[in-house]
Amino acid sequence: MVFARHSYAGHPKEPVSALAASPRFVRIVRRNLLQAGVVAPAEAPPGAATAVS
Amino acid sequence: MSDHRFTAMGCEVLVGGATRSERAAIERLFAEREAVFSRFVPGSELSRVNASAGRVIMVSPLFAQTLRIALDAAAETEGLVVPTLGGALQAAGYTRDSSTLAPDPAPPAPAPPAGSVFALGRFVGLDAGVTLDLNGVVKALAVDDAVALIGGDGFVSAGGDVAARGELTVALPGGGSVALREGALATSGSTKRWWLRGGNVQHHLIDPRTSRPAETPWSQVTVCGASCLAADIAAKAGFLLRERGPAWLDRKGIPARFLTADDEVTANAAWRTSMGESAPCI
Repeated sequence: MVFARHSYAGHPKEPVSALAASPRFVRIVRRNLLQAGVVAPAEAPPGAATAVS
Repeated sequence: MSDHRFTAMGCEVLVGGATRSERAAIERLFAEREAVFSRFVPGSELSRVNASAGRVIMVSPLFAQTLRIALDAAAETEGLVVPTLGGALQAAGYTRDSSTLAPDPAPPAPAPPAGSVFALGRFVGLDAGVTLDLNGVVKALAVDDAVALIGGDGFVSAGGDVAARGELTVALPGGGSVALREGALATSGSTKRWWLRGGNVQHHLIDPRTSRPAETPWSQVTVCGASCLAADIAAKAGFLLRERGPAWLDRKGIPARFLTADDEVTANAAWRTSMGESAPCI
């Protein structure tokens, strides 16, 4: 009985944790949504334009 | 390979550097996204979701993923760029393509009360009275996905959103141009999608704090992001934050350029650093 309680999957010895991404991981992913690109002074004629949408 | 133009999502789409089959695939992609996410097409999935406010329904994987990104954008922008402003847009008179909106002497309708959206996997529920508008992320995502379809160097430009593979020189609002080396550029502003309601100018960039078209010193905000999605969300946030926009984007290290109605340019520190401080735009 004691052996079963310490080894059977239905009797975990440690507190169970949810199978989900950790809050820290989620925070990092969300922070990565707004990342900068790279711009530099133009050296060639424009090939496209950005204007209001 | 010559540039290819077509119209989708209420704007002209320009594709450069793509093969014939890539151009066709990009055109299909825009058509499919518009069919799913248009607020003006009664049979779109977005219209079906909006008509189901007050109960939970199952949506397509594409819709669920896009809504998830829109909700992440809302969190990232501290509630500025949110997907639940469809009702406020309708109240302001944006009930169909803005190019077809005639002046209306009636004042804007009262904005609907704020509500929330529930999303868990493919299950979505809107509070009664809430109307989604995902335009804030759908066009930018389409541009990002479209440029990924190009095998070599090329670009996709839709309205103010430009994403490129390889370096591309891009003309800026109000004059000048810039070399886009990595990522994408997006411009948000109030000078194209606007209309008159009750004698007052209305536009599509709604301030969630007032549920009314934003009042801001900027007419157009251009941002360089790692993706078109990042650039578009950041540009909208910068526009809505008024005078605090340049500093807010600097805190995130995102280059941004702000244009007033008088064509005065304000660049934030990240943009000036990218330009080499003393090197002006040509």
